[in-house]
Amino acid sequence: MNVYLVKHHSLVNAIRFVFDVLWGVPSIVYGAFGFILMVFLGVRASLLAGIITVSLFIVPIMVRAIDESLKSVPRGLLESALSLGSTRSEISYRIFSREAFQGIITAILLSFGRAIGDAASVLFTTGYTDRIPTSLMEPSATLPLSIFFQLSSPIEAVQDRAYASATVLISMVLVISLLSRFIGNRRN
Amino acid sequence: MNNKISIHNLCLSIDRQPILKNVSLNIPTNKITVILGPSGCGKTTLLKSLNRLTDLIPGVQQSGEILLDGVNILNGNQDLVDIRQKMGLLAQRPYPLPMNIYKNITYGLRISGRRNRQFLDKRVEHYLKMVNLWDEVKDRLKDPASALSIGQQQRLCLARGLAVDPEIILADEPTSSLDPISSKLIEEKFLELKSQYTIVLVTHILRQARRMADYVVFMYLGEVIEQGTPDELFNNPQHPVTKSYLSGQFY
Repeated sequence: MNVYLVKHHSLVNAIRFVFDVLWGVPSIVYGAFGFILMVFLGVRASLLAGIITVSLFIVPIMVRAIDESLKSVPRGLLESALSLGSTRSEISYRIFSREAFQGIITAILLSFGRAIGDAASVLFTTGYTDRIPTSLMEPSATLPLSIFFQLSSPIEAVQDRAYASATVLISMVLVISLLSRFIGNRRN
Repeated sequence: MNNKISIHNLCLSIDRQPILKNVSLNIPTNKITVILGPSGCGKTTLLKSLNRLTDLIPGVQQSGEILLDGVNILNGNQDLVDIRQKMGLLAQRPYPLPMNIYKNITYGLRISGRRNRQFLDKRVEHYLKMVNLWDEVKDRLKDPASALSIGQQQRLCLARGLAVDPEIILADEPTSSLDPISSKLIEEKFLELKSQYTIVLVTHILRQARRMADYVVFMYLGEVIEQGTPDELFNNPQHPVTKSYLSGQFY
């Protein structure tokens, strides 16, 4: 978008606005939307439905965050690269992606972090189970949901499992952010 | 005089604001043409319309003709990549590509499909020597280009532009962000290069224009006020606006 549509300012702004609105929609609304879609298609709560809903939910976040980092690439670089006779796709893949590499990685990890920790969007769509799913069509447990359901159980052993889930979740988020820093530092 | 580029009645407006008004001028082959004028007079826009970077501006409207070797490049069905490869651009500030020094020079060659290692090595050495950068960077060709100083980066950008074998060099105030020594190096390079390339230099530095020009175009508020040889324009300006500019009454 930042390479191809530089000329169409109002179109770009409109697209940005749409994604900003989508970013602002609470994840429970995505969950409800996914649920309606499932009812419409006659699919039961399943891993697949959860995957689709979460994807819908993080796409605007990822797109806008990547867009922000691409926006910071100076205009002169685009002009210089065009003057060397490169086509727009070459500029996108070889120059903009490198120049904004760190921002793109951060954006992907940011949206990944949102996806992994989100409970509301998967509440209706993925369902909850104690078993490991064996196919895409079976319900499965996400980490936040297992914390939610296991913590509300009266049995103490199950509550302990909720704390274990929380630990796993936190360490995953930690590893992701450390990883993103590591990648960012190495590029510099 | 042989003209590389001739512009006829070029008008350009952005969101209906006229930027260039009826510009007509000729740019002679293998000479340095200096476009002179106060800031905001449309010099840079004129330069960018030559390799159609003006296409990127939102709300832009252009009319008139720009003939490059007799072919109108404002005509819609032109191959832009081809046009742009014929013109190397040197911007106000250097914009090194986000890769190492070696790849910066070879980028233009690699995208046009020339990947022979020995050929590229030779080209890199040749063009870096041409801009007096070889001795400074020959041991660190694999370092990122952003590690160089601004003056070195600008010379790298010149070498990068020359490596794709352009016929024309478009320079937009190429020395404005450089120290005096780097500026002098760039100016000397231009004087050497003019035997092989047609150079269009945009500047608002009067003394630089005097040092470099073979042909001068004076612009003011989007119009070409006067054009001619440096002798005609500097020593015997016809138009009152040119006179007052040359005598330093406004910048």
